[in-house]
Amino acid sequence: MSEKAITIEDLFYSYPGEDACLRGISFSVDRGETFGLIGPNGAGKSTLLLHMNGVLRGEGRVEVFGRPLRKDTVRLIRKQVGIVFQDPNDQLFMPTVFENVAFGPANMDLDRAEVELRTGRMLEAMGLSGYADRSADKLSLGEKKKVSLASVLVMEPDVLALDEPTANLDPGGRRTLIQLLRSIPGTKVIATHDLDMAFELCTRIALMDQGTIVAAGAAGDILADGDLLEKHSLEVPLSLLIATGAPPRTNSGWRPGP
Amino acid sequence: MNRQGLLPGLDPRLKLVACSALALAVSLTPVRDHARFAAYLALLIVPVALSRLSPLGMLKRMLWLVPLLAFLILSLFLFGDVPAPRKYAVGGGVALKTVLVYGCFLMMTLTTETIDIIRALERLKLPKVFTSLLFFAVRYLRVLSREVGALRRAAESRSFGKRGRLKEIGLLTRVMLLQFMGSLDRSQRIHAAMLSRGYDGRLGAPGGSRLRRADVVFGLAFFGGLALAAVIL
Repeated sequence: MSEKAITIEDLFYSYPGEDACLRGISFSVDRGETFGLIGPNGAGKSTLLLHMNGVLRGEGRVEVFGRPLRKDTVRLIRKQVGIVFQDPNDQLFMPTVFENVAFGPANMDLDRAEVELRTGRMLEAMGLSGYADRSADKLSLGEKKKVSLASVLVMEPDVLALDEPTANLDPGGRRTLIQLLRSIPGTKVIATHDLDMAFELCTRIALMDQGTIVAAGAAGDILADGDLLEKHSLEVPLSLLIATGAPPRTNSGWRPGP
Repeated sequence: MNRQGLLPGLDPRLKLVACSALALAVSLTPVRDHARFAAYLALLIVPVALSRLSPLGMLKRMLWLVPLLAFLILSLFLFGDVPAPRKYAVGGGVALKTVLVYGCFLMMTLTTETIDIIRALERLKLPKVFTSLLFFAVRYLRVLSREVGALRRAAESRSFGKRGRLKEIGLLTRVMLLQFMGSLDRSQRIHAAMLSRGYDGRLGAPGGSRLRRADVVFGLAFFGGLALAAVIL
C-alpha cells in the first residue's frame, strides 16, 4: 500500500447554484499521521472531508492509499475512510445506540453474528456497554459524540476523518474526547476550530480559507504564526502561548468592565 | 413501546402478515356473521392479553376514532337512501370493522419498533424506494418534533406568557414551516452520514431472516384460528 494515506490534487467543487466552495485544493496526508485542517467558518473544511470518502465528488484527483476514487472504488474507499460528522444528530439516525453503531458493519455484508460481535466489542471498548438499548435521542452531547465515533470506529477504517470533534463539548467531555482520539491508532484528519486540540494532536496542519489552502506545514509553525492566523480569523492557541511564555494578543479593544 | 410478553419477541414480518390477513378477513366478512366477528375479536384479544398490553391504554388510543366514526354514521343517516334499520346495521358494521382493524394494527405498533416494521416491509419485498422514504419520514419526524420543541421554547422564553392560544398556533405553524424549509439541508447531511457508512439503499441492520420456533407456533395458532373463523364457521 502507498505511504500516502490521502492524496488530493487540484480539487474543485461547487454546491449547486453556489460559488466554488473548493478551489484547486492539493495536499497529502501520510500514513499514520494526525493531520489538521483549520480555518474560519465557510472555509470549505467540512466539504473537503466529504470528498475523502466520495460522499461528494468534485473535479480533481482524490486517492486513498494510492487507489483513485472512482465509481467502482467508492464502496471500498468508504470502508477505508470513516467520517465522524460535526453534529452527532446527523449521524445517529437509528433508534437505539446499538443499531447506530451496528449500521456501518451491517452495510459491510458481514453476517448478523459478526455485526453483533463487532458492535458489542466496540461499545465495550468505548465504555458504552450499558447504553446499547438506550435511545440515541436521549443521550447528552458528549455521549452522542462518543457513540458517533464508535459508529465509525466499528468499521475499522484505515483513516478517521473528524469534523469539529470537540464542538459544543464541555471541558470534561472535550478532554475525554481528546484522550480518546490520542489513543486511537492510524491516520487521522481533523477539521477544527479548536486550535488547542490541533496543537495537542496534529503533526501537520493546513490552513484553509475561501476554498483554498493558504498555508501548510508543521503544526507548531502554523499555529505559532499569529499574523497568519489573525489574517484568517483565527488566533494562536492558548496552550501554545503558555508553552512559549508569549503574551496573548488583544486587538479588539474590549475589556471587561466597568 | 411494550417489550414484554408474546408479541414483542415475534418476527415483525409475521406480525405484519397476520395483522393484514386479519384486517382483510374482517373487511370481507358480512356484518351479520356475528360468530365470525366474535372469533376475530378473540384473535385480537388473546395476543393482547399474552403481550400484557393494557386494554385501557389501547381503548384510550382508539378514542380518536370516535369523531371519525360519528361523522361516518351521521353522514349515513343524512345522505343515505336506505331504510332506517338497515342504516343501523351498516353503521354498526362500519364501526365494528373499523375498531377491529384499527385495534389489530394498534396492537402491532405497540409491540414493534417503527424501524422493525420498515425492515419487515423491506424483507417482504416492498419496493426499496417506498421503504427508504418511510425510513426518512420517520427519522425526520423525530428530528422535526425535537427542533420545533426547541424553537417553541426559545419563543416562549421571549413572550413572557402573554400570547393567547391562537397566537401560539400561528407561531407553531410558522416554526414548522421554517423547519420544513430547512429540512433539505438536514436531510442531505443525514444522507451523507448514511452514505459514508456504506448505505446503498438497503437497511441492512441487525435482525434475523429466519423464523424462530415461537414465530412458527404463533403463526400456526393464529392462521389456524383465522382459517377456522373465516372458512368453517
